[in-house]
Amino acid sequence: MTRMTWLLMLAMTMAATVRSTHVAAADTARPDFNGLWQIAAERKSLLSGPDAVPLTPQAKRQYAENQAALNARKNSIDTMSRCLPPGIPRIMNLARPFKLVQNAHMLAFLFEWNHVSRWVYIDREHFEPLGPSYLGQSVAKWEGATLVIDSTNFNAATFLDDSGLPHGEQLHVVERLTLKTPEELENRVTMTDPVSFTQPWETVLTFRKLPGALVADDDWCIGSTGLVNAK
Amino acid sequence: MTPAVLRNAHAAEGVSFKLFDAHVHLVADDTKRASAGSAQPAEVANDSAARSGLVSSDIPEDAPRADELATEDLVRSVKDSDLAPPSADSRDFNGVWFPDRSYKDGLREKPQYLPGKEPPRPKLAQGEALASDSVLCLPEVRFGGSGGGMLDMYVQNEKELVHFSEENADRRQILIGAEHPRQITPSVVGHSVAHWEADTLVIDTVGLMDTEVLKNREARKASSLHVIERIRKVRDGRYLEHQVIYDDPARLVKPYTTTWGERWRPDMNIGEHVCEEGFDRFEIVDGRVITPNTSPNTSSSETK
Repeated sequence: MTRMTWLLMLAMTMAATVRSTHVAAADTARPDFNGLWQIAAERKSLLSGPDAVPLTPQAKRQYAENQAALNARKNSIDTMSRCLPPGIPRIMNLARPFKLVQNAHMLAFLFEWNHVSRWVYIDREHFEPLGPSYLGQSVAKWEGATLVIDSTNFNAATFLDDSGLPHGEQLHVVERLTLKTPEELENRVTMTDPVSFTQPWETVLTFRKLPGALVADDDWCIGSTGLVNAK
Repeated sequence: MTPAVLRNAHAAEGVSFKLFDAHVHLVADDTKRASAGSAQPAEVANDSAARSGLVSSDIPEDAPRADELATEDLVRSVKDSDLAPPSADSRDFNGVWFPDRSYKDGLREKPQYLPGKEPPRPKLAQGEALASDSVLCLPEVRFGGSGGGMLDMYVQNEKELVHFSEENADRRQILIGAEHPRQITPSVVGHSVAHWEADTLVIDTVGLMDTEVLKNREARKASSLHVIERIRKVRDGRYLEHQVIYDDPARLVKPYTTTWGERWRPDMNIGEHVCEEGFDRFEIVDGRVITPNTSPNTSSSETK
């Protein structure tokens, strides 16, 4: 190998290295959330008891109505029964896997349920939304090894959990995502909503790492309703 | 459906458009869901419809809806000089891109089917709408990007490229530097691995299955369709060019290649498109969509 050839190869290797690390540069500077995760223990209700949540009188009434309807199997009040996104934090509390894909500017949640995705924009301020949405708009910043996610701009259609816990459009969710171990991810969730809660309240979701690299992209909720069987 | 202010402004009141063989008038919320199948480039629309087994005999090639053209004109009217420049890294596809029908570079071939393997062509009466995969909110693999004036977004790191399609919230996970496993569970999006050839990402997808299998509750079975995509930045990094090669020896005389492009749009944000919204206003009968608009005497059913 001539010196010129070696130098040329070195230059090509360096160029390739620079190129290949550009996209991933920030991946190694922060905790690595990439991978498949699932709630460690699904909870039907985020509350330990009816008095444990600071519900406003209006929200108490709504919660009672929701529970009565669900107990009477009037499931259409639940967005999930109509294949509409369950919102957060509920969608992370389902006993279904989700995948996190992370880079310097984005943390993407790829939920298995009905191939729903959620995007968390890192180091970006809230921007003009397209309108209230089921999953809201999420931006985040790093505080040391914790990613602090700030979400607003929700519609009021979703429940916060399977028990029918309501919220309004003023819901503000702050999540503190911390990798406790390589196999355990903690999400400390604080919810504020002056219409529904008399004060902010917190719940903690713990996720376990799952083996594998892919989450299903073709879960088809409408297909499970039987509606498309008409032939 | 979340209103995309700029992109859907033209659809605020409800529009008339050509849906397969039928001219249908729907309210704004229903516009996208009932028409998405015709929103893609013709080759892609045909391919998607072919997998669903439903192809109209009368769709003109490259026949976008008027409202789509208006949207695209609106998007194209923004000058490059008014947009933040894309990453100088030619291997960095991160960000939001708008599929641009005006991009005409590259090879554009038509599929040639083996005898008896042509997609079926159901006949619809005037005013009828076909219960296409898009209308049924089926997950789709979008080798041709989002349609309907919607966006694509790529989230990329060293090991993976995820393609998010705003349309129907579809997505694909593409593993960079990985190999296909020996056994693949067939799926709508298949199994995709990729490698770099210079600054072109070459994606290899197998394990695709027919969406009819999902609809008929049959066991998943992989089709013989094999798709190779070559994606690269062109035009100073302001376009992503996709060359897509379809190879299916069980159905095609020979592989065919299509090319399409999408424009860098850092000023736009992908929205939360919920296809299922309004589904309870539809009724599916004999593979046709019945709505109050297309059949005033038919009441809509409620999704259980």
